[in-house]
Amino acid sequence: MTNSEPKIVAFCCHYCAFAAADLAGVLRLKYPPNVHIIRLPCTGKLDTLYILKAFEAGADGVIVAGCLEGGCHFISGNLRAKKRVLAVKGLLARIGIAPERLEFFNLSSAQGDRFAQIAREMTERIKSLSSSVLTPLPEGKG
Amino acid sequence: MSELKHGAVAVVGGGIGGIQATLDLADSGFYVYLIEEGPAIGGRMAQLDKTFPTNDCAMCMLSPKLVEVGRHPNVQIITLASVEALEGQPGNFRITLRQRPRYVDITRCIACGRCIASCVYQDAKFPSEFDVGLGKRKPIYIPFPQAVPLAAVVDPQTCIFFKSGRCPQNCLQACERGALDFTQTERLFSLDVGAVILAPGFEPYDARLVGEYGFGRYANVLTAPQFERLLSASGPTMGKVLRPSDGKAPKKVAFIHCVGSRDLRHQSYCSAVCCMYATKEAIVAKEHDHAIEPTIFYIDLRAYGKGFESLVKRAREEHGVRYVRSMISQIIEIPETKNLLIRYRDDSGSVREEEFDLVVLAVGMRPSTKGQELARKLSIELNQHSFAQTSVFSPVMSTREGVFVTGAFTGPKDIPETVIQASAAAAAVAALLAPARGTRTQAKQYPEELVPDGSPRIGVFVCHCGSNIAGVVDVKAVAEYAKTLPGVVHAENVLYTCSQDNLKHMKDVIREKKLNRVVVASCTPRNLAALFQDTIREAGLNKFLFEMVNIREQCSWVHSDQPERATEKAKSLVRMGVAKARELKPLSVQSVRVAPAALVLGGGLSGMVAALTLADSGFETHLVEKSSELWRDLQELVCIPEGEDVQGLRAKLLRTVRTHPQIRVHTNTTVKEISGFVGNFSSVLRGPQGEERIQHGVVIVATEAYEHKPNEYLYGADARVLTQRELGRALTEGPRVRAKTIVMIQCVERNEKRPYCSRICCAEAIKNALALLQQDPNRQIYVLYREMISYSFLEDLYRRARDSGVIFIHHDEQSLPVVRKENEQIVVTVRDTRLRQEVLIKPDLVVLSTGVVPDPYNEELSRLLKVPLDAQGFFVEAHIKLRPVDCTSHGIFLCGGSHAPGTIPELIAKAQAAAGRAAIILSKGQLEAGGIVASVDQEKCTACLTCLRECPFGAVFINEQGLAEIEAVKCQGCGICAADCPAKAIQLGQFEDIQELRMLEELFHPERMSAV
Amino acid sequence: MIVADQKPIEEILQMLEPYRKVLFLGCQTCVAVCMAGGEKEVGLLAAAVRLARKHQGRPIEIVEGAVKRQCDDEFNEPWAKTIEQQEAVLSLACGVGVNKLSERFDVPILPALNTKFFGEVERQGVWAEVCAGCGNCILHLTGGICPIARCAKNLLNGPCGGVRADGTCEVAQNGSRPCAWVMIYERLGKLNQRQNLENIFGAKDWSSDRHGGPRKRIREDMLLEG
Repeated sequence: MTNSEPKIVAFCCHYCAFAAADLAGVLRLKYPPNVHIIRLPCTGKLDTLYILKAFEAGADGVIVAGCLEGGCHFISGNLRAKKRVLAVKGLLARIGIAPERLEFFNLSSAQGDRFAQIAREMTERIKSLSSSVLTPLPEGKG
Repeated sequence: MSELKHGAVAVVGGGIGGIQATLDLADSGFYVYLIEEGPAIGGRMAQLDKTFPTNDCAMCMLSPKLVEVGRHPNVQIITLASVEALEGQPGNFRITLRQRPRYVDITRCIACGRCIASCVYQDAKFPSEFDVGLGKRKPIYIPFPQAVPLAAVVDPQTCIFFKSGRCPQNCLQACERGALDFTQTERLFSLDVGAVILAPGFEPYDARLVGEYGFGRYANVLTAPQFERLLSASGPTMGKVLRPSDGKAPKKVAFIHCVGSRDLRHQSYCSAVCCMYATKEAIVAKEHDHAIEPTIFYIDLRAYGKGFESLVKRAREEHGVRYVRSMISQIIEIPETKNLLIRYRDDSGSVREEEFDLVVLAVGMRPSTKGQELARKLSIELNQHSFAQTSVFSPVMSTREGVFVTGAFTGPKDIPETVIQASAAAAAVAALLAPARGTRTQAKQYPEELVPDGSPRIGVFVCHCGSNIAGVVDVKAVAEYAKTLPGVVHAENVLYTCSQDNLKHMKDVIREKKLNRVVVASCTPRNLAALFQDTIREAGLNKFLFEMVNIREQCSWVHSDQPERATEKAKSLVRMGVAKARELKPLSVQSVRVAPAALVLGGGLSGMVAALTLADSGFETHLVEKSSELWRDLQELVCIPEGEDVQGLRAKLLRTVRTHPQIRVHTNTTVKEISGFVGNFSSVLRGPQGEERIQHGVVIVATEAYEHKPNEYLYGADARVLTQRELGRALTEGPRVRAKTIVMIQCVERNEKRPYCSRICCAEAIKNALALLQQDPNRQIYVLYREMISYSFLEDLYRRARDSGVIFIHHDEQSLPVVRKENEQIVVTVRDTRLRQEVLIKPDLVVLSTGVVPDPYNEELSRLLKVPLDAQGFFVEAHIKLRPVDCTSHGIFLCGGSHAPGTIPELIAKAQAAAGRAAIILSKGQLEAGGIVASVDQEKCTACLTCLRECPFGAVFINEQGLAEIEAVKCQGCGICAADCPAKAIQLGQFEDIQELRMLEELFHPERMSAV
Repeated sequence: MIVADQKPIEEILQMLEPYRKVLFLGCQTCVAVCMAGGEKEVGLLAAAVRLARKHQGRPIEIVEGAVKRQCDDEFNEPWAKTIEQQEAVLSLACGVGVNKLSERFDVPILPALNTKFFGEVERQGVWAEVCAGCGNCILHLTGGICPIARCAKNLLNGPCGGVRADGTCEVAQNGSRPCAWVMIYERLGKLNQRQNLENIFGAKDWSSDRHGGPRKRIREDMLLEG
């Protein structure tokens, strides 16, 4: 293994993104093995803490993937998750972590290709960022 | 009843209608044979990309249903089968089936695709049925990725072995499971069933027959089902909209409506769904590729269902879809560019020619050939359009007793209408076979659960899945690695974890090694987790002491190009799974007794039908009506089909309801309070005899909708201005209408406040117009309309009205008709869009089609039941497509105008469907509560009410201690509350914070990673 | 309830700069309800601070905890041993909690929150100030709507000239706040108590408010000593 390979966690909703990841497999699409999926019953279950803990645990990037808007199995879980991710992005910026390392996606269970594309894009994006999660803080802060 | 009745049912057709009927019956104590002509269930819905009006992903909704049917203990799916004969009586039929060979043993096939890869045809070259010919498949193929049963199938028509007998049969060697069997032959066999539901569906109209549009000759003319596949992310172009002629992205896309429909040369009726699916496809195309400019050519835009109007509005305003009201008589292909030239009449009346890159034909629905054949074999009658003959008052009953019909087999309809009819048919069957309920189903017995004590003892089973995983991932290394992880006392490799012999082995290992947690590293938990959970349960473990790690779909299959990293990832995933397993806790599932009675609110047509359906199924039913009489007048029934004896129906219903031993009628009664939850409601009724508390397991809201009373067009100020219903009453009851010149105005006061189509007024106007002409053929009748909503077979009525001389004048939404009085003469003026000038009529009668409004009582019911109303005052269903009569709150069901306006047959079907859905709960006797549900730590709860406000299912309540508590029966396990609780007082079973955080900590654990 | 806001993370990091071993102690009452300092916020803030400090190359060890109510010694006492082992405590309670801990422990107690006001939950995620705790309540005369807390100018005898035609307050941006006196007028109308408006309040005696210095309340019959 190479140490420069970014480590990415993907929090996926059981009903859509997780199913889309399965479909990507069924269609034998290829994406980098950097992405590790953690299944949630709904992105509404995603505690903002999980995102920070993922970075603490050593993740270089975090994907949160919920259903298409209007398509949440539990009505509004994906909308809640989206707001939480937005809030954490703001916090990340202020503690010196590039907010681009965290992204929220909406996708349906039929979008296997989209899942593979997201996995590729995020891996590329994070490779293009500075090697460490923790980019230098602006002067005078912290 | 002395006569024997079979507790099994045959459902013919595995589309969404057949699936819904199957699940409803199987869940309420009947054994179901689901008979499908093709190799997999799913039907037309499986081929859709999105569904209107919410543009939800079709497969996301359908796939869980497919899996549910596939795993249901009370369902047997019989694919590649057709019905040969049906003998016997209702309750006691013998159905004979002919099953074609699949040449693949579905119990052995694991859908790995090796046979397909090894086929002598290196390239897929035969048109794929699933992709409507746009994609290609081989002679051996898997119908679609989410297919149930998920297994390969051999098409003998294209397979070289069957055609020439000379084939190396690579597939036989390639299959590691020995699943292929070319010796299979056709099978003829019979089953004993109590009833039959026919759901063979429809066929899209063959666009080739509409020669002027050039389908089949012009490369860039597609049918809507084909375009749907182009839009689908799993379709032949992976969701890219590309022209077949050159593979380029089209810019200008035209949709042509009514292809094969509303056309006497083809089918006279309206296909009911094309207007909306074309709008949906236009929006979705635009979403896929913003450069696309969709144009829709239509005759009438029939956006008559719930939420349809707003979808069209969004299409116009947000997505820039262009709508042109013009019939298209011809398409001409430009040979050089393969572009398509369309000539149409624009709004100003001038004829224009425009070039398009792609044309989509909104083909209609035609009765399926297999449906017609079924009808012949089962001796049921078809109507003049070759759809199943039903009656207005029995919309899901065929002409043969005990044989029910549902979905598009009974006429063109959309998915929710199909689902409603399916539930209605299931309810009718459940009532017919009520005495035999539970005679063919069996509850599985499990050993008593061992309580895990002491530290975790985890067993890890790493699956080879033949070479599917082992061909990429070093599974032996993964199992060896698993042994090093804390808590793991056993790890091994298994060739196929899901095979029967291994499941037995797994149980043995659990017992021998005293395992108290099991981790399976194999394929997706979405398909097989339930199987493994059941297995560990058989070995005495709580089924929640199980974790599944997906190293196939989410590892070996996507990383086959990097085997080393795939192995490394598999180890990480196993490490994560084991970390979670260490923290798993047994979760208890309690049984809650169901109060075996129903409360039906609203004693109109729908309420009475719902009550009767429930009572006939054997359940005590309280029918509550706030006025003094059941079905007091025909108020809600604005659309009474001509020639039907509604008064007769009413009298019969009243008699049966009043005398039914299982129905208690409460008139002059309102509901004072409703508490409790699904299975256990407790309500106080306030009636003439005072207050009474009743216990019931379900609630059906069956209030009706009423004709809107207008404020404009001189209504109330001049006796010559009537509403459509007032005219209808005058026509049936008198006094005789004397008017010679009559103007009918449609969509009166349909505006921003009341934006929805009431669905029934157009048919009502047409029917009344015809009745007026029958009295006096010399009458002049003008109907001023925006869109004529004569969907489905009502189109024939519309045509008859035009042929009889009724003059239909179209006007814009912006230029509404004006009614005024000049001296004593009523004068109506309207701007006719076709003539493009003002028309003046001096009628002696003006009839207003005002549409319907929901019962104002809904507001109070909404508060009492804590279920929401939409902006117009109708109740909101749980899911617009697949749960149209359920509320989000479990145990509460909707029918009648409380949910949406409808015609009599639609209301009856909806009432039966609601009753059927409710009966599922009542028939269970007990409900399971618990498992993956949230619970509140009372020590930590600070009663901030966040959970109470957030819960989408109303499962949270504040208990006597003033703290939040979650009703396990109502909780759906989404975890929104757990994530947002500021005191961290809420945990969701199986997804506890400690479990999730341990997974994160271990995923990149530096020491354990170096051990990799 | 007391409504507070978390301080900007930059300020918190600055406060924590000298320390390497800190207890983050939340409070599970008011500030949990207003989502500023309950156990959830403790976890989030601790994770964020750890990440930031790791990045600065000066890792910090954080113990996380939350007590029922920091304004009572008894709830804090079980944490005494832990607190004494820390270089500092970051309190996620309101200012009362910070004071209380400071009175008890000889460890620097740092405030993670800015304590703002007494408030109501207007709707989820929105808290509004409706009582100023002035110590001299007249709500029975103003229809239950407090002109001291809800009028920007604490006016007691009707609105100022700044009330807009639509009934909103000139001080709040883009009409986001109704004029307290318009609300009082309408409310009194509903209660048939408009005659209350004829009552003229004299100059308010602010001595019962903060202006009279720190306040204390004693209930003799509940005293255990003496």
